[in-house]
Amino acid sequence: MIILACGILIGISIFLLLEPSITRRVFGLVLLGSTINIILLICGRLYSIHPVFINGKAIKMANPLPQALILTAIVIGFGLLAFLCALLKKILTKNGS
Amino acid sequence: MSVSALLLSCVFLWSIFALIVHIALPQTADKIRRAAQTSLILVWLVLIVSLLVINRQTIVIMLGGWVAPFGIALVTDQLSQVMMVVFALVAMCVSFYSYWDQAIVNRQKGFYAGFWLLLLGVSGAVFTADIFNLYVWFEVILVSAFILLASGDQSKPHAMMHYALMNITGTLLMLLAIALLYGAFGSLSYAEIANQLIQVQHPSILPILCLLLFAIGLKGAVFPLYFWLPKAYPKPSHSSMMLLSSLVTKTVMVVLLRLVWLWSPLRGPFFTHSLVFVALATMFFGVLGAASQFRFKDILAFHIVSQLGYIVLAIVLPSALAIIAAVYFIIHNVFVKTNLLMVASIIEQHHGSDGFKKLGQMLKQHNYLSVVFFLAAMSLAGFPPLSGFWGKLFIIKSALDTHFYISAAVAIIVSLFTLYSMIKIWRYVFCEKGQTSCGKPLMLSIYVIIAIAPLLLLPILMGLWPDGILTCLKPISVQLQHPEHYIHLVLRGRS
Repeated sequence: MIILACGILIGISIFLLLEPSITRRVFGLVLLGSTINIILLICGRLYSIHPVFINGKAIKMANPLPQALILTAIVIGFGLLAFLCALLKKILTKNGS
Repeated sequence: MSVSALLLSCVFLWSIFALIVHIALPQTADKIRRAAQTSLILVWLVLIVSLLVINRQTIVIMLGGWVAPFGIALVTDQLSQVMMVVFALVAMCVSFYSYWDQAIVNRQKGFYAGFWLLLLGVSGAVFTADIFNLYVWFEVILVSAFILLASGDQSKPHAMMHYALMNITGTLLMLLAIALLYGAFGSLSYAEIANQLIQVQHPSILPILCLLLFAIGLKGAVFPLYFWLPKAYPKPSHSSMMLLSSLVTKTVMVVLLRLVWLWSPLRGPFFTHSLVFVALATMFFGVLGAASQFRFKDILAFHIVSQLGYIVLAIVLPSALAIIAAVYFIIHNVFVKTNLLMVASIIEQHHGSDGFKKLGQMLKQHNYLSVVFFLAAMSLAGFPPLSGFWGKLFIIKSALDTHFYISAAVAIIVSLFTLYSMIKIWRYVFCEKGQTSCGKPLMLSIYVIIAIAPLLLLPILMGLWPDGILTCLKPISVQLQHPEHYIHLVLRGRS
């Protein structure tokens, strides 16, 4: 189910990326980034039933690595998004005036 | 902690330190900045050269003491050390040149900060042994490329937007491939993935590797994905263009070289043949693009693409000589291309244009500059006894040895086209009469001479003394041909 949703989201984002309008392309990129983060989460086999913190003798615990990976990816993605927005603003003001 | 490990961490810490120094310095302090930059880059060069001299074997550093395959490893081996020395040399030359570059002297908005961030990213991408870490370093390189591009001509945000969209899409696709790799293998270490690839044949691995190669190809500007490069690279200031062209795409090539020889499915018949096709198409269409351009820097930007084709071809050919050829060609290309760009930017800065219609008769006006350009251009086209000749000879010989006859033929034809476009530049810029001739003589500062001299002498030395270079590069070839050694060293903490 989640995998199907991811497929649809990636389809939408690629559709947006191929649009001629630059604003839409930026939105497509944002959506693509978020979807890939979700895929990273699924690939880490992170389930809601396993606890994150354990006190020594629990049988199964949540895999901490995908969380760290996604955190890194989100931070980087956010920085790039801020840069893209600044660039977009510059283009729009230039075309508008 | 061994000396090499200490040196390796110093390389990283020093570039972070340099970054902070340049951010902290006030915008107006020109002389102090110059002095600081000179000493910073010289110390960095010494650090990297001493790493090469002291360290004769592969050293693995597990960050934070976590054992493989969970910890993130930094690996310094022959390949990464030699490449870092070359990159550091070019960075030093560009640094000297930038003191003369008017665009940077007049409005140096963070050029040096971008410079050090780029060096940090490049050293990270070369030394890392973890694929997610590689993604992070690629992002660092991307951000620094944005800084460098923005430090130049800001009148065309559309070209910048195009570059940004293409490259961010590339890194996102790379992240997707990494996520799928992690799902398939449960590890992100190069060595652990290579180990599992040898032991079991995953049927699902083929599309994942295709996606990864697609993303790397987008970053490295190979055949169907190279259109962003010639558009974006001529836009920034000259020094930024030299840095980007000599460091960014070449780093991607070094990573590709390592992955192709480490992960055995990438050397299978499917990937070899498709990558050979991509390489041939890259060199052919790149050189055709160059032949159709009428501006100095545009021609050189298309030649970057065309030369990348040669490098990819050398990387995928399955022979020991091809590895040496790939490394030799990357070194040759970094030096020669930076040299050509320097000549182009000196001429543009002096005459105010790089279009062929405006320029002419440089041969009469600038004798020495013409000699420098002539040697570098002939080296790029591959005339003996210059370095380009040996690079192409090694590639063509390894193509013939491994029965890729068509590749050898295409490589020869493409170098004829390269010669054609170099002759075109020579004719329009240096021989024929142009519209403008600048009255005042060209005054080159001592910095430019310091910057150009090594870039001119090193390719000539490489051409005159190929034996010595071959013996130096032999260990790299031996090491890459035996990936099991590398895997064992990185994973030794576990088994």
